[in-house]
Amino acid sequence: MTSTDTETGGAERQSGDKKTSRLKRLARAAGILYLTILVIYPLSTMVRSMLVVPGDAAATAQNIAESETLFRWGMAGEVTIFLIEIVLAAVLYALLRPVSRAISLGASLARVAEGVVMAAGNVFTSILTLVAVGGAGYLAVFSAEQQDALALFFQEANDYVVLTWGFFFALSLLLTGWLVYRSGFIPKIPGVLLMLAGIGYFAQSYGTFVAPGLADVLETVVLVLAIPGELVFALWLLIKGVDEEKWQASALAADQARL
Amino acid sequence: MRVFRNIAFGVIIVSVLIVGLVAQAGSYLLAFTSPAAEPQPSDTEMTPYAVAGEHPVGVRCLGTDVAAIPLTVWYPSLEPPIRDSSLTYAYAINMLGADSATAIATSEGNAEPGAAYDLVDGPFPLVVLSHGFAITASSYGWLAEHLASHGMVVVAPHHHESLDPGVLWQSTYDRPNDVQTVLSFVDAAASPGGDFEGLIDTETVAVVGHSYGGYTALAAAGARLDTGAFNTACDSAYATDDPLVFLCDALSPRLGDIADAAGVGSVPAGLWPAWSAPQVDAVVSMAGDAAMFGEPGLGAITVPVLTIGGTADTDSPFQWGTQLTYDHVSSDRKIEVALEDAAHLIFAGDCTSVRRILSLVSLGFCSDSSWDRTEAHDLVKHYVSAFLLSELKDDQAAGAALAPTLPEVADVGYRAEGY
Repeated sequence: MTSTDTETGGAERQSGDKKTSRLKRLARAAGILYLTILVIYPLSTMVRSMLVVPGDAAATAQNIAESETLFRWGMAGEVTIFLIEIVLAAVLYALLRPVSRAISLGASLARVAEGVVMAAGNVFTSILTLVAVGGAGYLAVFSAEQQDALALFFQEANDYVVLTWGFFFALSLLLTGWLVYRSGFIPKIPGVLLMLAGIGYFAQSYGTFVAPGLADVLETVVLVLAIPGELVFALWLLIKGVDEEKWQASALAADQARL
Repeated sequence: MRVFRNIAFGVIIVSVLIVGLVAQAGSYLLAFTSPAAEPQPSDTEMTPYAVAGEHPVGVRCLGTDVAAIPLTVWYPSLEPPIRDSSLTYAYAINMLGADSATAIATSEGNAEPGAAYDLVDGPFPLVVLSHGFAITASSYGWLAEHLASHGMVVVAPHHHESLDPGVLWQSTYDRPNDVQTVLSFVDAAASPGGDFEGLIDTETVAVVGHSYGGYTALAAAGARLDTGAFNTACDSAYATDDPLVFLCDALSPRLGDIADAAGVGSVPAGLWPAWSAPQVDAVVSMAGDAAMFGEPGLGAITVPVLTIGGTADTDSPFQWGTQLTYDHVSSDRKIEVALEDAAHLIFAGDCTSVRRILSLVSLGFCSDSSWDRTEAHDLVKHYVSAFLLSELKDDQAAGAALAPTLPEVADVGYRAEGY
């Protein structure tokens, strides 16, 4: 072995080590981002549940006006979620790209779309709600009852926005689950659970649009199906990460296939 | 060092997991269930006044920009509502603050928000509806709407209070004062040129209330606090660990504050001055507190009284509220209705859609071990409507429906005089 060979081998090892630590960091970042969403999202929805009284415009408007700071914290939580979703989409794309570049891109785009719909829908309707209860002078053209009705109108629309981003989220979970299942560098079980979560979100969004009477059951279904999948996936990424050798092999194979 | 780092990492992850799972569970449990199917209408052969009256009903909320105290007003309207269920009533409690109601259940109503007043058939008798302590006025929409359909205007003040027993003493004085404020406002609004002109007959007035609203109604009708009687009742309650001790704990140490708020000076040894409204012609107390009046204080009431309670009530015990009231008011016409084994909140809101946590954990807000709430509400509607129609509109048929000689209704104890 010449000294040049030794130098080349050392450089490759160094490059491999760098990639390894980068992979570990990516997986850990994905896990942390995922867990952050799993904590912030229910807290945000809990705020809404406490303040919004289904069907009662006066009570809803009064609650939001009286607890405006709490309501704004709920909005801040939603904003944080969609920002995280965009970063998470990029991280997951980088992690799962060796399995299938196209499907990984599809999963990430669906996740970005979910974040955009959440921003354009949930946050925007909350902003409009705040305007409606804000009591600005020009709103005097509406009676107090009409202003209250506007606040509830935007909040009830909010529920349908959740179902709308649910379609994109479901698609993202299904594709991500498939990628994980096929990856070889993450166990199959999280993949299966993620696909089940995706099916749950699809069932909730489609089911509630088509048969609103089943909303209760579907909400329970999504809770039972979604939490285990997302939680197991997030914890796996955070604690175990990916099998780096298999990831490298998969990436190499993907590169060769592309060539 | 590495071990400590791993332990810290593990602790953080477990903590985050716990917070996340608790938040997920909280979010799920605090959400509302889908509305339950329409309850089967109960048999109204024995309780004909449980059926809604002939008037379509409108509802309006008046803020402090219009009235001295926020009010919800249910009234006979000109046209039937556009839809079957035109609004949702929240059964809510001011848990977080006096101006922030937390809904625990909702139900559908038929009143049309903002509908035109029926000035053709008016003016109608006035019913002031006083809600339970820290419970919102809309929680009683089921009853208010029913009374309005029978040709009464129901005005419900929003007493400013939160769910804190420490402020019950304040409500003891504020609530009868609120009734006076409402009556003055309505009187002015019903005069020529006012918003209620032609709608409300301010000469014919009843006060209806639940729980501390029952106390409020009795006080407005003339009942007077009696320090001696209350202390005696509390001594007895402490000796027997009677549920009345809750009221004793809340009020006994604060009688001086109540006297200060009322401008009475020192705490009277016996009867306090009356906080009554002379316009009141009849009073309905549903699970109303009355121990603070005692026998002498209740004896000051001479107008017709309907007192209803659940015999299993541990918040406003039957014997210290419903029964005490019936036994000691001086009224010529009085009625006691005892819902056997019913609890305190059976008179509160309808629960068509509830927060999920209530369907898992029975906290008494929407469940009663012995009664179906819809059936109980139908009974309450029957007795309250018949009583008020008889007393405020001189409806002979309604009066006859209250005769003690009528066949007994199942699970209802009934006593009456003057009918």
